[in-house]
Amino acid sequence: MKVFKQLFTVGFVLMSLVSFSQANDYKVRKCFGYQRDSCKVSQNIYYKVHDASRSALFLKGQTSKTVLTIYNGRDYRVSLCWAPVLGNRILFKIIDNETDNVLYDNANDEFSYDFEFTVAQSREIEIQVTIPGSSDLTQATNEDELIFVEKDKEMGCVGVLIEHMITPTKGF
Amino acid sequence: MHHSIKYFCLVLIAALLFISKMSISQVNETRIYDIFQDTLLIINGKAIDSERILMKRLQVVEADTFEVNQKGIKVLGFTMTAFALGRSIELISQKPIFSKEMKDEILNKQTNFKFISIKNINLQTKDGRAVNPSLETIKIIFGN
Repeated sequence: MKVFKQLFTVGFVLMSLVSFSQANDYKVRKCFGYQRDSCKVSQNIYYKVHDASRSALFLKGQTSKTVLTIYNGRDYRVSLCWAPVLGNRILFKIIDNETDNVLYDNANDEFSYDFEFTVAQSREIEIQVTIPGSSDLTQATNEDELIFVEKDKEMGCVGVLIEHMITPTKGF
Repeated sequence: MHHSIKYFCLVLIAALLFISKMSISQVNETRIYDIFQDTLLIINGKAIDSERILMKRLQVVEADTFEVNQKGIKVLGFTMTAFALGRSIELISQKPIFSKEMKDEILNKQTNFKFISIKNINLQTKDGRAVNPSLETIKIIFGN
């Protein structure tokens, strides 16, 4: 009984150490499948996960984008999830890839972590994700000014989950 | 005695490591509000106790006057915002009900807003005192 108790304790400690080291080691492909494991799927059962869903390791202050083709007659839901080390909100925009028009900016929508929309015209869009930096001195006031900014070192996983379905018909 | 202390310490360390791992897993947790203690909006007989709620469009447009779960508090007005791809609206109602314009936008098949947000909810007590709702913004996601 005593041996069993000790084995259980050692096993529990090792398991915890392994899980803790996984949470902080970014050498391995830690973010692989992060969107699948961490992003909340829609409550609407008709949504299916899109293959363009992805995740990546982000540094604070970094901006990155991914391109998606959206089709007329379909509904899409783009949702983001991220490691708490990156802060309590991140910015994301949906930009028309051809015209560069900003079609949605979550800064105008209370920094919502998801956006659901219907497509009336097929097009290619960019999903641009920005992680706010923690340093205040990120921009010089004029072109001649030279400023030194301590680069943010904190990094964490960001997942972009894309779901889609055929737009439900309403009425007769 | 010595062994039991050692055992306790090991379990404590393991538990702390396990909890720390759990706490850094994800953000975006949604809080559920207390219907008895919090000041919540009631739409179509349903107290909105979460920042996000799934409702049918018809349920929303057929909603009667907005009420509040706490006695003596009434709704004076609110703002409705909605976002679609390349289009956003912000409409203000000075009454505790969705205006015709709001209802038209909710049912607009062309834009097909998939959700609306209700914010700037203006509440007042019987003696004219302004009260803040527990949920500053409510997101209503349309189920159909």
